[in-house]
Amino acid sequence: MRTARLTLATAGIPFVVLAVAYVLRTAWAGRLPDTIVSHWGTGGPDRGTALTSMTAWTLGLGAAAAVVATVTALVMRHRGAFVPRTAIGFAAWLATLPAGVLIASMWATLDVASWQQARSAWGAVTLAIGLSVAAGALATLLTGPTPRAAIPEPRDLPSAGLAPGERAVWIGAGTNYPMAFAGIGVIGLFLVLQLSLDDLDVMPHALILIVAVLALAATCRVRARVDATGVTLTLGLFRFPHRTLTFDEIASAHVEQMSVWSAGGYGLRRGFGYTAFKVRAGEALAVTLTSGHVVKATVDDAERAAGLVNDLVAAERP
Amino acid sequence: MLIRIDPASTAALFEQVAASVRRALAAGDLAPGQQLPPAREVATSLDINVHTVLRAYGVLRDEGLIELRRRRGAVVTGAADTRARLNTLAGELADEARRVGVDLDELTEIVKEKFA
Repeated sequence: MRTARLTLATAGIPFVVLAVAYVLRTAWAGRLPDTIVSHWGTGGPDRGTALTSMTAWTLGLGAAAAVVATVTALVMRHRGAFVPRTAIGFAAWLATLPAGVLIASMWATLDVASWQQARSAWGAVTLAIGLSVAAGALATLLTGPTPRAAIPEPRDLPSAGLAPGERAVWIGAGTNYPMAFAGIGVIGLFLVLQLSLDDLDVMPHALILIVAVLALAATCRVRARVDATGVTLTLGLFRFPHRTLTFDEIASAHVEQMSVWSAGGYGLRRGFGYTAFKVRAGEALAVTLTSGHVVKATVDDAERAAGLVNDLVAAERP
Repeated sequence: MLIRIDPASTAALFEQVAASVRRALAAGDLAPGQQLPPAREVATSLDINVHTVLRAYGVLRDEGLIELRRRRGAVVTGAADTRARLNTLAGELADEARRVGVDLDELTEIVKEKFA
């Protein structure tokens, strides 16, 4: 039942909206110019696109987005991962937005001689956004309540063996050393090139260098602290972004192995049901929230960190 | 690194902090060159005075387990893992001697005999 609902929400609703857009395009064919408005500036319509081309692009994009969302949601469900209904609603909104844009552009150019005489942008934007938001909301409702993730039994969870009355803090980090040293390597390479090539312009290359080094510095290290206030995670040498999880929102913690490809890469990653502070492959602290969302951080000695989280969660609960 | 204290224990808080670091060194959780967490952060998390943590770090420095550097803070020394293990074993030996009623002089003699 849940799979059918997921499919209906991620594919059914977007494809119905895409079909409605195509039916309207066919029905309004005699009342539309060959080129319809596709953009408005401050002075009114400032760009038009051929109706055929706009129909193909918007419906193609919408269909592709719906297929990707459906496949992703079903694969996640097949793997037993948690698929939040807000994400399904967002996917349906995204997949129906191109159809909404097509319908709005056609409506704005309906019964006028050319796209320059199109109606105001406000009506078209309201129509496009309103239609897609309504589709997203319908998909959210259709998906039904998000099931809570099964909270592991206390006996299965790691523990740091914290005794009643004891206080503890765990502070740890995970560092991607190749990434950290790559930053130094990039600076070295730049200096070598700068000294050896006379005609090398400084500015454009220096800007690229700064961006590359800042990007590496921002994602080469993740740091975590577990204490009585909760779990605090920070990314990179600038310790930004950071996230603090309080114990009233934490259900449990465990250790998870992350591959190079899991979560889709390095840095702060967000996916269906998880947020990952990932700087390397390997062991990660995985904190399951009461909402079912899992926050992961690729820190060393994650077992001990997870153990302390579970002990402190148990101490917080009556 | 896990640092734990028991406010109800008879052992001084700084000793408990130092013992946590020794345990981490003996278990290989801390490698030479690795930094210990800033004293202020540890103190805030454990709700104790920062001077208590600094005193613990001072004890560990005197034992040769860490170095206190102006900019890098407390850094684990190269010989720390060996010394930490010796410290842990010596602590266990002293505890066992007390349990079986062997005094310090007698224990020292035993160690001297074994060392010779």
